[in-house]
Amino acid sequence: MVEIEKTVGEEGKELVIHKKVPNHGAIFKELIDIVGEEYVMDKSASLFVYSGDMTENVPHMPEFVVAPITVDEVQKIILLANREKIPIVPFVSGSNLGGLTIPLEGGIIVDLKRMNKILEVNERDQYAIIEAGVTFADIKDYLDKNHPNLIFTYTYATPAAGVVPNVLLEGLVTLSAKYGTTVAFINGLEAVLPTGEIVKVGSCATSKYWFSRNPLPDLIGLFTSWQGMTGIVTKIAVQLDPKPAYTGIKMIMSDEIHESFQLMEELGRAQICDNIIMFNWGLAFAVIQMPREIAGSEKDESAPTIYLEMDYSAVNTIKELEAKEEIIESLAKKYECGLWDYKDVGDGITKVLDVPMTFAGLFTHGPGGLTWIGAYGPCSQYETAWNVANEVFSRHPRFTPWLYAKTFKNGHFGAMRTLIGFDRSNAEEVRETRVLIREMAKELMDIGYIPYKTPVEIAKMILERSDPNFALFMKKIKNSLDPNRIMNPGRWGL
Amino acid sequence: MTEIENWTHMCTRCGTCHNVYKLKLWEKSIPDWLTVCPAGEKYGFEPYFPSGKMWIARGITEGKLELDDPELLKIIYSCTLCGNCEIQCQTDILKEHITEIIETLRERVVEAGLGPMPKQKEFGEWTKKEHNPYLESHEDRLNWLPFDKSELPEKADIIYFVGCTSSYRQKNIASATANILKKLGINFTISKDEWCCGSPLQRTGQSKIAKECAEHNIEIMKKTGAKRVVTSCAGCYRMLAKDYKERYELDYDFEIIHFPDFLLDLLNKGELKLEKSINRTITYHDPCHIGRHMGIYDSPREMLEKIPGIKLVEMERIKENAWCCGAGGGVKSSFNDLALFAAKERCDEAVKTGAQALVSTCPFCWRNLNDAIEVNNLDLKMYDLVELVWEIIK
Repeated sequence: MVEIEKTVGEEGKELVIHKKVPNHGAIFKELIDIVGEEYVMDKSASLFVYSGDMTENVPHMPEFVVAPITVDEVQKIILLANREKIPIVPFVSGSNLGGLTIPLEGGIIVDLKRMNKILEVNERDQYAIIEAGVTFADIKDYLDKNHPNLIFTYTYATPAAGVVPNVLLEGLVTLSAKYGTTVAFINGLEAVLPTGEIVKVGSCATSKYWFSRNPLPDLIGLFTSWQGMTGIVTKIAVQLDPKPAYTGIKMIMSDEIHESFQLMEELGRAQICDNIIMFNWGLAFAVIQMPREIAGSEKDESAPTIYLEMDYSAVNTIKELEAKEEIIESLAKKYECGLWDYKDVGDGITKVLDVPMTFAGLFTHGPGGLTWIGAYGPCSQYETAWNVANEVFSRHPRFTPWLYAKTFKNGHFGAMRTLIGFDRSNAEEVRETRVLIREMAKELMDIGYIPYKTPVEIAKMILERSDPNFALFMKKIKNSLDPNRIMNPGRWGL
Repeated sequence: MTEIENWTHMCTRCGTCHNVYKLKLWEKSIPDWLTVCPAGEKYGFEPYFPSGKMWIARGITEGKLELDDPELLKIIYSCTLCGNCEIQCQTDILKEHITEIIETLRERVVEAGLGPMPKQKEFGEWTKKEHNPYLESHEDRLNWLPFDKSELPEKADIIYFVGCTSSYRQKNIASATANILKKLGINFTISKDEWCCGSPLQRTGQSKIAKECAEHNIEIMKKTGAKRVVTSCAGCYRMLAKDYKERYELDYDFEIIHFPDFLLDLLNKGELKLEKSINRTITYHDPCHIGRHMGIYDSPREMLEKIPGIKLVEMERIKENAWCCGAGGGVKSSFNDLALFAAKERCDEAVKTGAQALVSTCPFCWRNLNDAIEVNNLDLKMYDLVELVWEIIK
């Protein structure tokens, strides 16, 4: 643990400042030698921007920020950090909602935005090889212009969000009902290990094609959900899909929560949707900006409680699409849920459909703070998780409950996301947000859900509840890969 | 907490300000997520994006950062104040004040004696002495005039406010404008004692000097008895039409008109006839100061389309999403590498359209875009709209 010099600001608006390394000047000079003067910063104004994120997590000042553009430069930075035992934190946009780029022990932030090249798109094998700083905006624009017959899956985050962090952190996307989290889209990757070796994982380790992670031992897992603790991923191959010839979206707006969740579960198993997502009123109104005549301006008896969106598509024929519609209609009828065509719901819906998106109503709700507990769990517990989340929110009435649930991988599991907008200028509200987050994580874990993209306190809670040998196994892997504990130290409480 | 301090808390650093925000699925005319911030794209670090600057402003208001931070000046001054982030940001209230917050930060460092950048400070001092930021003599201000000064009346219906860039650098634009007015028999004058409009000073935090310039200019314009003021500079137009009234609360009742609008009006009334043709494919660059800042997007295009033989083709980022030329906000004088980076990107976008010429309606855009054309040896010719009109009617 790097020593803390001081904490400034009251609790809720605090900033932690760490002691500088004794040879700060020499390290600064060496970083300049690696990337050039323009791409190293070590003064407070710049460092402050990297100290925190939009969440309630306590900001910590880094000591340096460096922006490499080549793998060679990344390797040299890591070798330097390893030699000097300086913490190192990879960064692209910092919009992960888990405080994951906050440098808990100071050190060097490696801003990878300059590594923004799409290196290859293989149309026949349907994958793209991209650099670490490529954003969802970059890949969408590139595919639309150069390979209009292919699509990537798009995140429910801003266009400026990085693709590589998202896929490494199990993001939730527009094709999740079919494939699961974004980890499923990784064919292979290249990473610089904490000790400086450059490794390739997946078929690219052996073949010139980055076609799959099969059939070699699957070492991708050494980098996914590790929150940047096992190396810096410099390239990744992501799976692309054919652009569907036909697409459709249906909505259900209902007060029948039980029936709606049963329908959601069965829709997953029916294997016909690309995306199945259930919003509560608060989120529908904030994000989709549902017209008030439909949603109601406040949640009253006239406003539907839940909004179930189903996206489906057909690569080949309209008949294929119509067959899917027929199944959706029949299931909706079975559960007595009325269907709406999305076009009848209003313009605001396109904010959700047009991904990558901004979640305008959330990121931009005004007071500047946004956080969450996102958790994955069994489909059988959808409704229980929904009720638990509402119960936790009811204990903190100053926050508007923003909830959504998703079905993953043809009904094999699902997600529950609870989002909290808060006023970051109000220290007392920030403190209450921290309490709410802990309660939400605990109570969702009690019913079998597991939070993801977790801030350190929640990650510790997960490990405390885990099989002791799981935590031990993680520690062994971490110590073996990163003996000097330089990569994003403190994450997962390790 | 003051209003401005409150605004600084609103930015989540979500990154929406990095790209063109696409509002609706079916609006195919809006490009997908193209980049919008010259400084952010050039330097790549978070602090150079608008959101980074909002966070720094918050750090200062919370007392966590000091104004004398050695990197602060470069960060807050390497912004062209183009305002594209205000178009893309989706946070209510904040989105209307991003450039205002940056200008306020600049004012604060100037007040503290820490700013502006050395060259900008120099042009502030020079403006106090010779009333222009180009280190030129005030006496030479009208040297570009294509006819004798004595032909300029003391009183007239219209004043042509030339601006410093057209007076001392892009004299081609000043000459074409004056020639057109004269040829059309317009009763106009140009003040021999015009001072800098104040735009480069206001944008660099030197608002006290800018205000002095504004007060002087209003006074001398009032003396001419004119009812209308035409400008051929986008920066001057914004200052005269917006800042003089809203920021400095000066009292005047002239109608301020950007020259292409003035020409379009004459054309529509039949008082300007474009009988010859110019066979050229051109594309139009929206200057930030008349476009995003003042909402003038369509009239220059309408004017260009009425020139016989002109074929107007559009770039990807146009109107409110237009990529900045890179010159504004004091960037050209202090961060020429950033200015040329932005201009090169704009010229490359123009070349992609197949246009032979890039046309704008601002001498500062003209200069910076033309610098990029020359430095990069691009197959593109730079024009101001008034130059094309003069080419036809001369």
